[in-house]
Amino acid sequence: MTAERFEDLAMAYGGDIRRWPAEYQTEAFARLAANETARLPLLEAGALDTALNASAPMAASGVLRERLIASAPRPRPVWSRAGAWMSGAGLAAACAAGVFVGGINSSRLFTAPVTTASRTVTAPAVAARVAPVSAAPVSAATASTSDTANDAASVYFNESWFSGLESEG
Amino acid sequence: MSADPDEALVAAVGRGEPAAIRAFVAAKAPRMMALAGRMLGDASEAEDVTQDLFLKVWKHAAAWRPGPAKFDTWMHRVALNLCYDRLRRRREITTDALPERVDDGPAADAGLIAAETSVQVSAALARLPDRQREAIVLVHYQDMTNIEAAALMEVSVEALESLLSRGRRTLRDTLGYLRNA
Repeated sequence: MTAERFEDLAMAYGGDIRRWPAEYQTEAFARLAANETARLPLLEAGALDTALNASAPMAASGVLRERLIASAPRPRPVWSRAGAWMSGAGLAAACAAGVFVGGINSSRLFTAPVTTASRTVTAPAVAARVAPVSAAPVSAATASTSDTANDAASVYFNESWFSGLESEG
Repeated sequence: MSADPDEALVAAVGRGEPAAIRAFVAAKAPRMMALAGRMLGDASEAEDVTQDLFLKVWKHAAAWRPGPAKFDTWMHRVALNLCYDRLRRRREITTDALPERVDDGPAADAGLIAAETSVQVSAALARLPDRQREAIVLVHYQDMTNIEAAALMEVSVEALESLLSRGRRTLRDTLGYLRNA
């Protein structure tokens, strides 16, 4: 290693040879042992290192850390996912039952010949009869997909995570 | 290729494990805040960058697969991109946004001298061309190897070395009085 290269490395990587690229360290220490004047560029670079180290890093405050933690998505717990599946199945079953019951009851509601118009008019009444059956599953589904949980889940299960990481910026 | 020391932690973060998320923030937030702070010289903006960065981390952690780049390196790249976005915007608004050098008046005690030195070094760093500052921040402050830093900056090791030398030479000239203090 030439004196010039030694100085270049000191200027680039600082006054501590142990922080230089590994491939140069052995040669650099050998040069230092053989030539006392090699110490001068190290001293000069070391003075700059000391000055640089005097610059304290900006700290991540406790408030910032808590904000970061709060911004992390949470996985939906197993019971919540099972509950959502169950409530979905329950909702479908309730709808099917409602249609079935509604169909039977609507035939009992009307003694007059049923027309297309009268079916339209009485539809809310049929729906009202069906509502109590489906009310419980619907509210359960709503509870298990509150805004927060839904946001977390949609982020957590977003399939787009599986591509394009390297170019993110 | 060396193993990524963050691999297991990132996987746990991807699964949304609260303990892993806390550990990850404890390990990475100070490092990323320091990086953004040195690049931007502004605590408020550095916090914003750190928050934006972590949102991206939460979004991508589950999909992370170990490859040539470590997760920490990817975080640095994203953080630097966010910093450069802000530096660009800053330049568009004003060309006079850099912190002023503090008055070189007499200091009362060692604490004040240290604080003053810190401010002066930060100001000198802020005056460097962006790429020189980036090279010094990555190698000197973030303890990256020359190969890691060069890959991150998408330059050759020789070009990185040149950026480091020019930056450090400028800093030496700017801060030369510190050696005589």
